[in-house]
Amino acid sequence: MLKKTLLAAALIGFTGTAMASGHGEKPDAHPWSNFSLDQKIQSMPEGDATRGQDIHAQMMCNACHGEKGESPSRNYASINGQPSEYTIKMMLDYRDGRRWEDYKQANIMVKIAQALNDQQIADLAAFYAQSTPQPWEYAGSLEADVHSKVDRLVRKGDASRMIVPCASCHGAHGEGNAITPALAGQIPEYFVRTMQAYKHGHRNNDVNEGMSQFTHDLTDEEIQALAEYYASLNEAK
Amino acid sequence: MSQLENKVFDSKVTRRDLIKVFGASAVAATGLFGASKNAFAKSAPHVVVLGGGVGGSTFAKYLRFADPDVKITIIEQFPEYITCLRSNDVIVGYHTLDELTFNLDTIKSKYNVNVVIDKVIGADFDKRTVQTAKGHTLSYDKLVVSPGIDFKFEDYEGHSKELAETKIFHGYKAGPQTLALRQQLLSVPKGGTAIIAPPQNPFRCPPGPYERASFFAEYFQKHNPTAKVIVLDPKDRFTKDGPFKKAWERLYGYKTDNSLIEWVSGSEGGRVLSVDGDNLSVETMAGTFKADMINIIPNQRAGKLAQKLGLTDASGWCPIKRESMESQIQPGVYVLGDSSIADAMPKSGYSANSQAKVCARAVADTLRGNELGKAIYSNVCYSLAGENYGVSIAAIYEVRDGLIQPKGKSAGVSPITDKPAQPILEAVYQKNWQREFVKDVFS
Amino acid sequence: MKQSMKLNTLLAAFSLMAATSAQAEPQMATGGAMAWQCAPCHGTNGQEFVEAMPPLAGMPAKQFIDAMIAYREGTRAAIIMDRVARGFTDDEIKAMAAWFEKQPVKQWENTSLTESLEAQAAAEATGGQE
Repeated sequence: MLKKTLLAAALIGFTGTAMASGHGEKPDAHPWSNFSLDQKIQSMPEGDATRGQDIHAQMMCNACHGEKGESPSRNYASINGQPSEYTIKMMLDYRDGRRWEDYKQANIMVKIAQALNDQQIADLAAFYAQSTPQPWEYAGSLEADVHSKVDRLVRKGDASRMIVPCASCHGAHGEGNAITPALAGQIPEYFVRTMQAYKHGHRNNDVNEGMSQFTHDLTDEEIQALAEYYASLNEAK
Repeated sequence: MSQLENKVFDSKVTRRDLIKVFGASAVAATGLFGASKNAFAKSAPHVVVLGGGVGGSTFAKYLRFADPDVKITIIEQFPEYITCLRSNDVIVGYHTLDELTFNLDTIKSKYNVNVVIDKVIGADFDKRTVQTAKGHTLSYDKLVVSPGIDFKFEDYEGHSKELAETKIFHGYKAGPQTLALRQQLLSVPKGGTAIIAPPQNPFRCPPGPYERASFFAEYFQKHNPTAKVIVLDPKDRFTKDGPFKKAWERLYGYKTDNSLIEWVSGSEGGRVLSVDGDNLSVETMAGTFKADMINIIPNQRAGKLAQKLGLTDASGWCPIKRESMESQIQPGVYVLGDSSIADAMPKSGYSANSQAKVCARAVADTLRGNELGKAIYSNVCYSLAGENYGVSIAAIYEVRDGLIQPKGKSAGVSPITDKPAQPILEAVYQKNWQREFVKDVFS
Repeated sequence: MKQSMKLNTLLAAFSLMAATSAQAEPQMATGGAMAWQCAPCHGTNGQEFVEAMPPLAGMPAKQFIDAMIAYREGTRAAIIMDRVARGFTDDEIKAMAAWFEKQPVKQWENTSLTESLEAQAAAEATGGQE
């Protein structure tokens, strides 16, 4: 039953909205305010993790993001253990044109998100929120002095550059909170790509530049070190 | 990590880079970018490539990888090259021809390849020279030809090169033909009919006619919903026919009364026998079909240059040694791409690119006096059955029992599943493939 | 000139390897010959970092091997890589993995010919061993 409905929905996508919007034409979406985002998330239907798991397989999310969301690839994000609000926000942002980055990994997600409705997005979000982030399987280890510098940045921030501690929003163990994503175990290449995108203005779906403002003064070396730090972080709740 | 700055850096090879690679003496003596015959040490062998399309350009780049010292010259008739791949997109307006137009500037500068814009008019295999229309004679140690295809208009009564340039366009070499088909498609009246007549096997880009039929149907669905496309086929099967037909059912009502596509197979009499350009009609075994536009994609043989150089056999195509792509007819001459007889490999851009890489290693090994390494080929073809609906075929190939055959259990087409993401993702991958492919070929 | 000597040594290793491996009929293509075939989707030498397909250059060999074997055995969901991976043996996969690991983690357009020739020669010199 679910399969049939999904296929029907997607076929409407093939012939309907996706085509009507033309070849890579950007949907017109307003940037979020804290209020509008909160309203939208409140209005989403309740997600069901079991249905979400089905959609995860049916929409082939598992091909890039792994069986439970733990990405086996360098290219794609791990999404296991993400708070459901975060997943919902990302999927809406892809669908409505707020994540229209010019690197092509984003393009995949735009097409997939356009084939899903709000209920299906909520179900997927519930499924990913069920699990916990795991350290990245292929993570290396940082040199001790680099590790202590990054650890300080994560826990204390850097007041001289107006950088607040990463942990203050992303959690003491990188576990994330509501629309703030979990970072523990994240794929380093994805982490770096995301941070660079914020830093260089390619990505701007954060509410009131809540994230990008902290990236401008980070060096490439710091971003790389943060990526490796979080990739190997073992979330111990 | 400057990967995200999406700029394509124009990383010209500097004089210092070249000294690193070739040693100071080679660089000091000559101007390497002057298209000079003396650009390299005199002792370095000279490999001449006829044709700067997918096969020729890929070959030159990868031969440079396999041998930093060899002299490489490409002779190409036109300063710009329009890829056939994705030219169906131009017919329906998903791409412009400009987006499919490339040149050999990067091949020349980054890989230190001599590029000559001229037409080859003959070769002397005993003296190992080629002659050009502008009156030059170039000597070579190894010659590589990648001459594409030629059409057999004579297979259809009433058809001719002239008719194919004025009214019954093939659209199977990208350029003015592509734009002419676009113009015809846009002019089909309400409720009108378009005919596509695919060729007999073997031919360039086996899914091309069927992707084109899909695009016509999609275009009609959006702009002219009572019009339809009729495919008149001499064959009973075609590549990826399973997933294509499933897509036609899902998208265009195939097999219903209101279908936007009708496919007449060979057994049903689909083979076109004759064409009447004045009345826009074709005669088939199944009867006469009249239409508002007729797109005959004629039967094919190896490109004219291959015929002229005597590299073809009775089949009209070029027999090659499977380990190296070296001609079975002329030793020291190699044939790449559509013109070659490559057994299980389809005549695709991907195949030509794949063969060029095998050939580059074989030529480098031969020039060094080494035994050849083991050949490995591949082909992946993504086609669109709709703008957001992709279907694909993929295989790795090896030489086995003297033939190029699928290796292991690699060969396969897109599964027909009820997973809605499969065709969506394949359509995204298709676009990824196209962007990446032309970069591998031309930069 | 130091660079040039290093390159020459590596190229000599490349030739030597090709020569010695050619004593008998080669059992499998070299890692480089196989890796070149991946370029139309993953970029020349796997050096494409902003596309839908994952980059292969600099990928940890173990990760490459795990992925290819999972695709081949059908334990990882795939769009097309299952059909590709079924063409390769364990040894071939290992040889490709060792080759790709040695390629620069850098967009192809930003890589000089010299830099790539050195990386390719170094990768060939491993003979496909980790």
